[in-house]
Amino acid sequence: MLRLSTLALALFIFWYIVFSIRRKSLKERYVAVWIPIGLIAVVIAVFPVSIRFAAKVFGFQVASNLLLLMAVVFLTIIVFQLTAAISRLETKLERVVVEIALMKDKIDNDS
Amino acid sequence: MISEGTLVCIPALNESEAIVGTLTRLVSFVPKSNILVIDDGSQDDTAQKCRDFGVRTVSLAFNLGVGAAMRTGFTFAKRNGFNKVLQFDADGQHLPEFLEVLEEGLDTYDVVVGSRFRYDDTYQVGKVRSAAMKFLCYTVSRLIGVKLTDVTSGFRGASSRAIEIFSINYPTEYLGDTVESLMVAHKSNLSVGEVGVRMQPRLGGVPSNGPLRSAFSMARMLGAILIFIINNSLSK
Repeated sequence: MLRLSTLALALFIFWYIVFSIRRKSLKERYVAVWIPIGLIAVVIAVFPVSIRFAAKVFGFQVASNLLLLMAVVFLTIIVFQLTAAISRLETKLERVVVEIALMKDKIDNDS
Repeated sequence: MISEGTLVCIPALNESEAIVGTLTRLVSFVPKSNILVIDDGSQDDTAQKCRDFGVRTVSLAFNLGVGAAMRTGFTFAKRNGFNKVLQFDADGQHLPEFLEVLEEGLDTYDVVVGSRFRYDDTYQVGKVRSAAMKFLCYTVSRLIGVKLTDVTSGFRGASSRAIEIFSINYPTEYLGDTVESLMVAHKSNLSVGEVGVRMQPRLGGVPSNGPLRSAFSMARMLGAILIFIINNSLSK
């Protein structure tokens, strides 16, 4: 039962990622992070033994520790990506606001 | 008197109290047609007061900082055929009689900074702040190979070559418009120089005092210094 529900959850996450890409609500550059996450979730749900095996290989005593570490790493990458994206947006916004101010000034004064 | 192709840019944020006094003193040295106020998203009637006074005023939709305001000024200068830009404070701290000194400096340099500390008068700055400023001066002077004594001064001038570059790339972060912009100038092969000026304590606006506020502004300054070092020390 647990396996079925985790599988359902993983499939739902994967479907939602694909759905968002198709609906264009996710830009290409962010897809690169989310597709691997969706795939890994499905793989782990179908073959729970894979995470136990990986934990053993890397020397984790408990498999869930590996999962938590992966979660932290992924989330850090995503947050960093978002901060970088916001910085880019701020720069672009500044350009737009300056340009609008100058255009408005031109309209008001050059008539 | 200021030459015809020179634009005096005044970035202003909520300077309703001081701006008219500043402009009144300024117009006895500079014709109105050579003055541009950049209203950096003021919440008060700063922009209206400037327009009523009869100087051209560009209003940014919301507050973007002195750097962005000045980039607006440089772009305006470039598009309207001005070949020199002088930056002037709205709060009355800068004295208009020194604008000519800055302008003369532009005959020699592309970027001229008006320094409070060249004249050995007693301009008052807090101890910690003064230490941070000295450190910044030392670092910037070494990096660009010119001895500077007041890198955080906002009283400065730009030549036409500098306008060309600053209209595209002018740092907008905290301290970016003062310190980092000198690095941009240096990296773009512009010459940087300094002239001595005198300044006044501010006439209006909100000074940043009180222990919490000054601690905050100090922390911010140190953060900016850190970012400055990251930006400029490792890369050749």
